[in-house]
Amino acid sequence: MKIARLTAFTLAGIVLLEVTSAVILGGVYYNRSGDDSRKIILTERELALPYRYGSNLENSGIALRLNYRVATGRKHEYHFSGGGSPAWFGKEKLAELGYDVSSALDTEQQRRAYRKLRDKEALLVLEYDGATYQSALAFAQKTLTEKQQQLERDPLSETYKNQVKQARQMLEREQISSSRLFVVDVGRDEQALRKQYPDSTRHIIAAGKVGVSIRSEKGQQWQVIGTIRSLSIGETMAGHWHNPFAQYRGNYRTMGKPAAVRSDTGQTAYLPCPAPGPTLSGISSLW
Amino acid sequence: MNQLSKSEAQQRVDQIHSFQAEMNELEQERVLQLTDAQRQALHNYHAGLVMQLSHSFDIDHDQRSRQLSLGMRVASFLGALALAASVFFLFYQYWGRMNTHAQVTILIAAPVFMFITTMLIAARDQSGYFTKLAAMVTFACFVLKLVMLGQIFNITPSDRAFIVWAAFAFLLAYSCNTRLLLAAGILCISAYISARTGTWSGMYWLDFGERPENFFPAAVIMLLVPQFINHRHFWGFASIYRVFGLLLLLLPVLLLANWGDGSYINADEDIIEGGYQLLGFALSALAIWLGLRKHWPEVINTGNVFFVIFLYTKMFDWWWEIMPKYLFFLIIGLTAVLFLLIFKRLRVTGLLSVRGAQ
Repeated sequence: MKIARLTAFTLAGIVLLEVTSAVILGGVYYNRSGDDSRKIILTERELALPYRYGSNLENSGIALRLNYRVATGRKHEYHFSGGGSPAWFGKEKLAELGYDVSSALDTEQQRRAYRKLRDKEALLVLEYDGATYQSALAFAQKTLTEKQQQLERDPLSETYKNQVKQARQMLEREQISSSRLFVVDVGRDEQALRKQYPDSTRHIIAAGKVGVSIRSEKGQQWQVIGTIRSLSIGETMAGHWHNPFAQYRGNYRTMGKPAAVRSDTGQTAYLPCPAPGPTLSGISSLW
Repeated sequence: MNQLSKSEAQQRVDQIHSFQAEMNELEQERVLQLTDAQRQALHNYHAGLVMQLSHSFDIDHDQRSRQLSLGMRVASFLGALALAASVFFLFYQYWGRMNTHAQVTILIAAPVFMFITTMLIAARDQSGYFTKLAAMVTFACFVLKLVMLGQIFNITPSDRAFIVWAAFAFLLAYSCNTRLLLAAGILCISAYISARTGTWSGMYWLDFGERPENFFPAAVIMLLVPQFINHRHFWGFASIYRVFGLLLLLLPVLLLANWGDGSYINADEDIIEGGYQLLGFALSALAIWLGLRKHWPEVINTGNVFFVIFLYTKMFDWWWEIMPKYLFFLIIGLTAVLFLLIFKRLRVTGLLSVRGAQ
């Protein structure tokens, strides 16, 4: 009786285990079945080794962190990495994503209702080395020129000297190390986004998290803005031990900011994106 | 005899020991005297019955074995958790040195191998302690498989993973009669139900914990399961469902009673917190009443604990800042005395009603 019962459970368990494996591997096969022309080539500026600490130091796998940026339209935030509130992410976009943003922001109760709106999953469009990056680069260049002109007018000013130094560092970062991957749009319909952004060598469509914020600056009216929170998959596996990143393993285990991999030494990664959620297909050295 | 469950068999053996002790007392007091033949027949019958039950169910046949089995339960629980953690870290330590094919092969084969091993152990292990260890490691291998395949192939995280984890945990729990795995299954399925509740209200599924009310549907379902499914042959399963149901209900209420901003309700924070404080008192009192009525000790205890927590957090809110500390703790102490008196009275009332029924 007991043996018969256990046999039945064993069979059911094996079926469950095998079906799960089949579903996962089938999904992986589908995800990787896109044609090779839909690859996007990134450098280590966009795919960096993640920071490691604590018990995670024992993890022998190497995952690369996808560095992306958001152009907020506010000058001091151009160089920030990660999420933020882009200038184009207003009420209309939020309504498209299913948020009810019809009510005003006049009373505390109305503002509380907005604060209670929770984050949603959406598809993010990431543009590589496009117009947004060029704007950021131009902005850094323009800032340096302005600061240099100010210093020329008052060459003894320590403030201007510092500002020039900072502006130069910002420009260097833009030219050498900052990510050129910017979130340029969000949506819910993958097909519509692919139609709108057909160049898959320049655009990645990936699942991510977005939210709603409200803000009021310097006594101005309250304003509703959308915020990019994060990518659903922030890291992507870099394959096994014998990949080019293995040489950084010593740094990687203890790193805060390993200088060896921070400069643009030219590691190249290929990201095909047939389905939402990019996949790393290979890593190689540019030289 | 196989129709009995393990708990019923244990109950029968306890009953026999009580009967024998009382019989000795009665004979010493000369209230009842059996002939030698009767005494021998009774002894033989009880000895045979205890042996048969011990053989079939691996129950505790005396006080010493009861104490030992408690120690074994604790050891197997801790061992199961430690072994499961060990499997996780073992893989983490070495997986970076393997190629993708080796990683996938190990991840797919490990749960199957461990599952078959668990079933073989379950077929031989009467005590269930070793089965519990093996079942927990099997479950850890399965969780690891989904997590690591997700990482290797960059699969977008999904709440559906909780369904398969829950299904596998329930399968292991019911096949091996293991409450630890039942608890794991309940946690997984509750996480799935709560995540779904969150997504229906429009939130990102991984943020379901940000709105504690998302746990209420799962709590209701867990409380109802033992009402509709007979767990006579699964000792302690119904209690686990009820305890987890109450935790899923009362913990979010406790949280919202102190963090009104976490609620779906768009109202003043103080009003929300006040409402949930009242609800917390009402629900814990209801749990105590229901537990007394239905003879569910685990429900009474959970209700008691939460009632006291709700009361003490309220007292802390009201008086910690304004009272001298000696007075605050004096009131806490006096409240404990008051509780003791109430419970004593309840006990006496219960005893009287039993006598009245007799």
